[in-house]
Amino acid sequence: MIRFDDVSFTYAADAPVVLDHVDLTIPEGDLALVIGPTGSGKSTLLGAICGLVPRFTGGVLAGTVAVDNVTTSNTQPRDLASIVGYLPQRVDDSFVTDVVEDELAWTMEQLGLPPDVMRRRVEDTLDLLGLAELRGRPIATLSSGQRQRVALGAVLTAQPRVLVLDEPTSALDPQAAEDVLAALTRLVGDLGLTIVCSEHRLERVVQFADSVVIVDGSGAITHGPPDAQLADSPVAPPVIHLGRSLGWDPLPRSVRDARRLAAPLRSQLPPEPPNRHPAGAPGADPVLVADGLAARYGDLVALRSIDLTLRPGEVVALMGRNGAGKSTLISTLGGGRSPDAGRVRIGGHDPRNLRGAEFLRRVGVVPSDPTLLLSATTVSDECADADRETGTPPGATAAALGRLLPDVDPAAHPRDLSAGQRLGLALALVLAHEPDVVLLDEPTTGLDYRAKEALATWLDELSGRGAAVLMATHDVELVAEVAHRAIVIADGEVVADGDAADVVTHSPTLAPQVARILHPLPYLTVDDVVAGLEAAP
Amino acid sequence: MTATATARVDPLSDAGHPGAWWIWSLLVASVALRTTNAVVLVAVVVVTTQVVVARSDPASPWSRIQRYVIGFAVIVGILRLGLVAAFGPRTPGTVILTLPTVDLPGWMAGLTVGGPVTTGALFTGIIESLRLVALLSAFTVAPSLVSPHRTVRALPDGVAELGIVTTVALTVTPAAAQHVRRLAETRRLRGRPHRGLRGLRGSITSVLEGSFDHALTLAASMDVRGYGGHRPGEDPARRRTAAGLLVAAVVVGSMGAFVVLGGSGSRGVGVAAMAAGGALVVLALRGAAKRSTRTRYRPLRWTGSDWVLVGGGTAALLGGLVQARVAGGALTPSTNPPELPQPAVLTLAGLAVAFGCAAFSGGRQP
Repeated sequence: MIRFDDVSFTYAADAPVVLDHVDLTIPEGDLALVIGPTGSGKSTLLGAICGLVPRFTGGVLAGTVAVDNVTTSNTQPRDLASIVGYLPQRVDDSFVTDVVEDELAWTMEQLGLPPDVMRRRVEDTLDLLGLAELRGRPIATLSSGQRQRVALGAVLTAQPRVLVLDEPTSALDPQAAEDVLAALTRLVGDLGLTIVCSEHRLERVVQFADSVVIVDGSGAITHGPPDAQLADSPVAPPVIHLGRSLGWDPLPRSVRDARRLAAPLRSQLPPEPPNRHPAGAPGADPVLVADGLAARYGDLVALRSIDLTLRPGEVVALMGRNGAGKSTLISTLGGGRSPDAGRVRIGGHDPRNLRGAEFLRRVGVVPSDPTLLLSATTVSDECADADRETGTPPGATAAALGRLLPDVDPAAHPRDLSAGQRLGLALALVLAHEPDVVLLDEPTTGLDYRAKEALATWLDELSGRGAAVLMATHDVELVAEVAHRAIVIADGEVVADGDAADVVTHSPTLAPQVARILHPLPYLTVDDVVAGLEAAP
Repeated sequence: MTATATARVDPLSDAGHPGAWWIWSLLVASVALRTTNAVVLVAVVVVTTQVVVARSDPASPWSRIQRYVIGFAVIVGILRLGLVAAFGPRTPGTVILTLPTVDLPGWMAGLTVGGPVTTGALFTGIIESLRLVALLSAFTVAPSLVSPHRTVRALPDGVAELGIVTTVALTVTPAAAQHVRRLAETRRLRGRPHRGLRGLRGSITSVLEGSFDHALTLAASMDVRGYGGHRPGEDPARRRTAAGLLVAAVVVGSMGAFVVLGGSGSRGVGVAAMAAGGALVVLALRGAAKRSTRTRYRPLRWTGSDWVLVGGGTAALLGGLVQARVAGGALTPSTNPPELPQPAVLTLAGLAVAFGCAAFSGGRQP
């Protein structure tokens, strides 16, 4: 269905090769998963399938890419639209209409489908993706996860035979991600769709994949069955890491497989993991206090009376389904919007009154669209600016970036970086000078496992030195790794606030993979298990 | 099934068809083009800004476009006054102040720096600046009221061939307005000045980058979703003819409009060119619509309130035209000696009708 014949691609003559003599064939009806480190060229590969690369990105593509025997080099992307549906990584700029329902119908309008077919498909898709309640809502008022589903729905309604999805679940809460993936696999099964999908959160997708394409950043790619491809890939979900460290063969891909293999392990492990990290500095005065915060957008209530405190040395995860109010809360706490009721105090000050260096010293915020933080023309200028403004020693921000993502080209323009690299840069800009309070909105979207690991270690160190961290995230594995406390909000209210391990293990949708495998034992990460085994008699 | 599918009314139709708003904007702008009467110019600014206040959704980023553009026009107007004072030609009139002159080398003859500034030069400058503000204020009514997405949606099929160009042209300004707002917030997060001129200076590049990025991503997204694509059984040569015809129509029509509104050259030729351009546009779009296989999920409706809007705009235009015929002097009062502008009653009445039609013809924009 999709064929790459000796394809090479570079963005500029003197730039590194992104794809180097790639041959790839994806048969009809396959769900192929594209994985690889941040910035390795996954999005480029996907863009080449639908013709956006090189037509909209620039660069030189050699060789032949064919989809359903149509060569993309002599066909405009718009003429491929009936065959290929494409979901971009950043969906925000891709909306063509203002209202959910219109957006779902738009591609069909272009393809000239009759109105009654359009209506039926719009209704089906609204149900399939759980969007029925949002049908008349302006897209601008949706949360990022809801937007992601609308964008996916807009691709699905046209019923193309090939779906190219760039991180389709990165902005989704665990339950929504499961629903979306279930819907996709059903489409593969029922309609014989071919799906090519890139994803960093392998734990969500890998069990559905028929084959795995690994893009390693050198320009070469490998393609093969998931088991063989993942056996020694550095990019792997926790279930595979667990299998590897315990020497299981064959490696389990799903929690279900692993639970069968883990029966003896459950009886062997002690009832509590031995190395649970201590929960911040108890007794210290809270550094951030929020009383009765409320926020609304027009008629839509985003937050109703939220009370929250952060103590120094604490890493707190903020969880909740898409549209629950997480981003609004982060933005309100950082002073980005004034609350409609209640107040925020950071170190005794209203964050809206803090300015310049004083603000930077006390608060670091990474918003959900990190691109907005970037303004210089090269990565190294951006880092140097941050060093100067925050008063850190020269080079500190660049070193921080290197810690997260060692391969970012310092001479690159920030807008040319991949989405994950831009996020890494934004994190470095905000974290390098170690502010008292760190507020992060989805700090792992587009980051590979290695970068996530580095971020987790770093947050752990920061909290060890007395910083308070609040991160809104859907990434339960990250929560399991670093968070001391977890707060779950729903519909603008706090519904759970407590020890992270308790909160995540008590909810089947929030539980990380290891916790599901070892349920009811309260183990959250592979490291917990390894330490537990060492401590076991 | 088909009947019920198309019979559902677009929930936004009360807000006015994008095309109706563009027509209203252009007709009102034509009033400002044809006068140097300060009262009329101020009336145009008041009418157009109040329409935006009455009809826009204050939460939408594009509702700020008019404000930003007027601010920009005022800055340009002030700069222009300064330049006229410093380098302007020696306009006759009462000298109000004399700037020190700079002796220029002989080969720069014809250019003067400094010297007397006259009331004539000053008043002409002020009126010209006011006219710029009035024009831009009128032109930005449609983009401030109608979301760029709806405008793109309302484009006739024939324009789809010019896909990226039209998308970028129509969405860059709204995207910039959105970026100005979001950047102010994120500049604060970097501990940088985010208000006033200092904030603006630091973010101009980012705003431009961001808004072009947005417009191009949108164009890419539209393309990949089939906007303007070929459908089976279409003749590519005819498509190219239609696109060529459209471009020719726009060129001819604009030249005609330039001649007519600029007041130079033969009016007859201008009107003929405008008419020819209009006819060509209609022809090109009709041909395109006949070929088009694009369907509509919920068609944008041209409703009664849209006719009211167009009627209002036409009233403004007619007010100006009749005034010119009956008492044209009121539209172009003398600047030397400065003359108190007479109320150009007919023009003002036309503007009042335009305002009434625009402000009360429907609900707020969603």
